[in-house]
Amino acid sequence: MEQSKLVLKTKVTTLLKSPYIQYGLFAVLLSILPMLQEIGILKSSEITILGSVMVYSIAALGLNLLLGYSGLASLGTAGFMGLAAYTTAYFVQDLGLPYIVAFIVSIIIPLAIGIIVGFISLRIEGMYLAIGTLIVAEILLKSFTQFSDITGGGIGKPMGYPNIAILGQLTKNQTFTLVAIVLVIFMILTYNIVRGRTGRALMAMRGSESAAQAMGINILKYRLITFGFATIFAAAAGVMWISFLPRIYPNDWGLTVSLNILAIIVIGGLKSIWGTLLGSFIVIGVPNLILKNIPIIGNIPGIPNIFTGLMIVLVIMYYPYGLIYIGHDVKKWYRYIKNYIQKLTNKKNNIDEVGK
Amino acid sequence: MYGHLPLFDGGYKMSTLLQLLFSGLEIGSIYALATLGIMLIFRTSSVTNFAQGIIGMFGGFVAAAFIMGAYNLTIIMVDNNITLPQNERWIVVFVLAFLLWYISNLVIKHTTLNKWWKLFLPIGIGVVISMVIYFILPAIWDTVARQLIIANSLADTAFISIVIGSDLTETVIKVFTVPDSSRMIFTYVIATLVLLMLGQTLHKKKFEAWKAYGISGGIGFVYILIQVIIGNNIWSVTLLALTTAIIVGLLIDYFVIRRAQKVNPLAKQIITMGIVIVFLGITPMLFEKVLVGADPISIPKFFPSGAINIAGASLSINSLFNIIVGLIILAFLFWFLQKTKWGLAVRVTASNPQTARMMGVPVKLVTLGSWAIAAMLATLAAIMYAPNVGILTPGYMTSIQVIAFVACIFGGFQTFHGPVLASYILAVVRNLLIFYGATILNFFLIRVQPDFGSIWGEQILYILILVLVIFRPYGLIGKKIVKKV
Repeated sequence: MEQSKLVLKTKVTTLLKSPYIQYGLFAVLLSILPMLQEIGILKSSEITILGSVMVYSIAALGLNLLLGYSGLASLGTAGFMGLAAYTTAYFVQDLGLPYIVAFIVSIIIPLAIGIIVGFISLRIEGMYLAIGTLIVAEILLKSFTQFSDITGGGIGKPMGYPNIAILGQLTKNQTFTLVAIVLVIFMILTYNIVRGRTGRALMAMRGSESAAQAMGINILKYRLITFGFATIFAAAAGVMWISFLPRIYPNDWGLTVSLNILAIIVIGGLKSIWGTLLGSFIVIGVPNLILKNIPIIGNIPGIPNIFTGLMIVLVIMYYPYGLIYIGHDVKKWYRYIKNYIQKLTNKKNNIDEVGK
Repeated sequence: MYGHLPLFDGGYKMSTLLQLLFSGLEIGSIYALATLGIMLIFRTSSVTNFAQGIIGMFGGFVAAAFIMGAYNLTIIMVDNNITLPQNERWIVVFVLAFLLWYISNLVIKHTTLNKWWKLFLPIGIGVVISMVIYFILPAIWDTVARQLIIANSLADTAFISIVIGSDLTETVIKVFTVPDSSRMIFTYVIATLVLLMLGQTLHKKKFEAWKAYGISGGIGFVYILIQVIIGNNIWSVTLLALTTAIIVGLLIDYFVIRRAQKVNPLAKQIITMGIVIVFLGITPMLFEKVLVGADPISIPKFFPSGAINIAGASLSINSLFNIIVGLIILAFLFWFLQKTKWGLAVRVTASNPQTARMMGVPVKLVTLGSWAIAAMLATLAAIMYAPNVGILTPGYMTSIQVIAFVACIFGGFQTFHGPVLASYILAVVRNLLIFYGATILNFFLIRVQPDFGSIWGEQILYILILVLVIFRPYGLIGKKIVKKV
């Protein structure tokens, strides 16, 4: 009896350690949130904030593939998100095409540009590459402002919640679930990319490009793959953004959003999927959900930005691997203290024995 | 449909070309100032400074706030219709004042001073302290006065007068609420006391205390004179904004960049992005009064009117002033870098900080100085650029930042003169593309609409630069860096 219980326990723990099960549980957890709103525990505005946390997480996962796993900095994320969002809105709202078709097209168009950026990345690297992608984003941003026929200019472009063929018109809470499902799909995708041949190649390239080349890794191919994936992630985030939030403006896609996404992965933890989610919650969720409700501080304008900025600076300076590793460190400290106390007690016991 | 084409419309008139050249040069000098700041920081502390534009923006907002009369701190004005203070701004101000005092003490403690620094450091500290005393402390008085008046109006008067007697209460309220002159005297007395205290502290460190004391008092007096005699006009406000910029630059280097030496190179740049976000938060906090107010935030031109005519093209005095100021500052900085001992120190630090430190170059001071200078350059660029924008928002320097980066890539990160040259070229070419874009394409028999240039000019310029980067990754004048495996 005892033994079978133990076996069951180990089975459950191994099962829980499997990332797919974890992601599945996470999806279930996320889809409970809209139900909580319907009961009245969560406010509708809080659902909106949590939804944008998830949208940001999707884009940040893509940037994590670039910066975390392959060491390529990019500041063009917001531009690609905007391109995808506007494409979706244009196809659904103006041309009346089905949502799924619009989704696919709005991923393919940014992907083409992303691959061109991949070619650029072969020639320049480090911060030069970041500036190069910043230029690409700036070109896109200028175009959004200029094409006011399609983008609506300063008035903004509305789309409304998506109407999917089988499911029909979605409500806000159903769209939230849709975003959650997309997020979990992309988490699984990231996990597979990173654990597979591509991920190993990327990490080799990150360590030393020349060494990677000597080992027979095709740099051109993997650079293009990385940029392609990062763009797909950003584009999906853009599509989810326009699906979940009511209206988009050209200024939504400026440098600030790119910086926020960068902040997310730096604060949460490079090279970590859960870290990205944590970072996204800290950067987007905490200022809006928690800081705004604190009595005196909440009324001061600009507090969220100061919080995020200081977090970036402090985390980089004093905790360079990201906040996700804090649990790991706490365990280490706990073990260290436990050992220390044990040593002390042992010593005392020894002394007692000698005394006897 | 295609209307008149500028090519057949006399578009190549000499005067038009000159006009484009002039405005290109004006914008170019603004770009060049920002670019040189980025280059200075990049070379001396190996950080690509994403915060350059935002530091400039902060300076610009300081200037705008003062010129719009939102803060008029030397002569404190208490409004007649006082409302409760929106936030606890004075806490921030107080913390800032304390930090400044702490820094000056640290600087004194940790620097081994040579002949020149014995002279310059007191002046620097004097400037900082006098800023605190003459600009920030009055802000605190202002808030205290508001609190007292509120207390008064909230019928606490009865309580206070019972406790300390009605006469005294009235006196207290008078001191805080009476108009300008007597309050100024009050401020002066407190200021002098603080200076005296500071002089004592400095003296204990075997420092030439009287110099700091005298100079800071003098500078404060000059500030007050400027404010009283000519008021909040663009010149005095620019002076103030530049001083603020120096402080901001020093603070950033001392508290962040210097402590991040061991961070990996990529993360260092992300720190500056963090600083950008912090400033995006601080600005609405400090300048809430201006942002919420009815008037749009703006900075006037140095010379509001007047123009001269050169070969049919008109060049406004303000543009001429901007061009000349840009050129003078650039010339001075290049002379400084090439010909002086400190310039040599900067160049040595730029080429290799470790070796420079071993050779006895004060690397820390050099980086501190370059941050201060870069912040000043950014602020000057921001104030010069502000009239072109009209209504200022916290993001108004982003485009300058982006273009300055483009200029750095275009000119190559290895020299100081490459990016500066590139920023002038960029500005002029951008103007030409915007104006002649359609004409050029029509010349090659590609029919486009006449407004093609103004819509696509900038994007085409950026694409051209990206293409150039693919073929010449190290810029126009850059050298190839040999990588060791």
